[in-house]
Amino acid sequence: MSNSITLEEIVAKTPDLPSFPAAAMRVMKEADSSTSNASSIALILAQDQALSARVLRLANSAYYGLTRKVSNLQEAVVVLGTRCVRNLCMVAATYPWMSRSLDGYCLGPRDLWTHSFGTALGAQLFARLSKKCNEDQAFTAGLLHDIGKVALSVWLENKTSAVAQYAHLAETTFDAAERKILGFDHCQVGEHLANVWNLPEEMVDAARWHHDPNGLEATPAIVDCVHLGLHLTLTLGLGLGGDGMQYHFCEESYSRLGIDPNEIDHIMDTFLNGYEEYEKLFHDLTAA
Amino acid sequence: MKSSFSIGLAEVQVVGGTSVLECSNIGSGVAVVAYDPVGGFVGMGHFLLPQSFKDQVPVKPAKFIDTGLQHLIRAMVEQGSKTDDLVFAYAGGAQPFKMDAAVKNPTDIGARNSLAIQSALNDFDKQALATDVGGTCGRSVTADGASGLVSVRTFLLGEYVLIDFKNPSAEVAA
Repeated sequence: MSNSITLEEIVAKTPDLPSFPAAAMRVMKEADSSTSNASSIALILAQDQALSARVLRLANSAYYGLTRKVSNLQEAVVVLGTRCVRNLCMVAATYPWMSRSLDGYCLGPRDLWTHSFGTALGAQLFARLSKKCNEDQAFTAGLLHDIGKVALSVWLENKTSAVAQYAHLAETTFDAAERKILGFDHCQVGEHLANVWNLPEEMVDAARWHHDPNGLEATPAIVDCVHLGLHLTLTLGLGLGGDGMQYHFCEESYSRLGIDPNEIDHIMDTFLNGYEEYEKLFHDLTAA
Repeated sequence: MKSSFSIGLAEVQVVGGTSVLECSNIGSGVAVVAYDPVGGFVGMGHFLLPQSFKDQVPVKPAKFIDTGLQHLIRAMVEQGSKTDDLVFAYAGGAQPFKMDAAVKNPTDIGARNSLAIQSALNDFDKQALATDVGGTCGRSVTADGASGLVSVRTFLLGEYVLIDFKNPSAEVAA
């Protein structure tokens, strides 16, 4: 039943496949290094004018509530901090293509963005609670977890209903149905794309295993954080598409992170408060 | 022309006459529709968690089912409805795959929400006239104040009428 097209061909032949801005990648790596400072980050950012402009616009958004306007990149890093600018840079780099519709997954404008940003915030929250991985890396891994959908969407058009119906009737997950019908799933495509983009290994793992963290022999904490962040996002219905909630939930992720699942209502409440705050940033992103 | 109002996360709205309320992207939360056949008002809330925390007064009461239902009923009464006249329907409570439908686990938020809304309505001596809960599909719910129709839309099933509040005993197409 599967198509003969290979995963590599999917990535090679998909029209309008986004690329991850080189400057954003270098900012991410620089910010995660112990030797970074405001000028080293500003210097890298300055090499991409469009990205720099979006970062400055976001830095001046109502969300941050700065009393005076930040007019250059180095000042933005000094005022907001390295971590904040790093994450703003990830947001600015991904928003233009993540906010497009993905017809193959029945996702309207901004749906994938809403879903991905929610997962990023959720992953960051679980990283903070567990203290088992870097919060900013968890944020980026959550933001990029569904990049496989961006590549696979066009190949799934006119097949979405069949995949969802198959999953429903066979009582299996949407990713299992993708594998049955297409030969691979969006997680495998995401892993391949993440490697093509030369993303760090933990982001490749999150793209590949976010629906099945038990599939890894030794699950990195960041994969569990993204899985649980994704669970919060699905539960709240943020950016649900044709695949809905037809995925496994792995409760072992809670125990591996040392977090009591009985706390989920409080965790969800904390997540919601943060998410609602960020809507101010969403508003500015729309204009950016 | 009908006015249409969108209900966001943890929000409640009440409208009258010819207006339509719509709530999209309902996951494990529940969209509760209240209808006043006498006054013609319709209200909807999108509630997300089963119960408010004992040690906190919620900033957004509609985040929780217990305080959210109180909030929805209060908003209907403020418009002129009488609690006794109100009838209800709800939909939602989906959750990711392979989790037990019965409440055995705190992370089964969809199943817990489905039970919590029944219990909260019981506290007001009310029962829902129609429900659509569970499964793994996101839902959208529309309530039309003029026709009294409440519709549910899912990706797998398309759109169908959950209940006709003006003729609640009539069979509706599933």
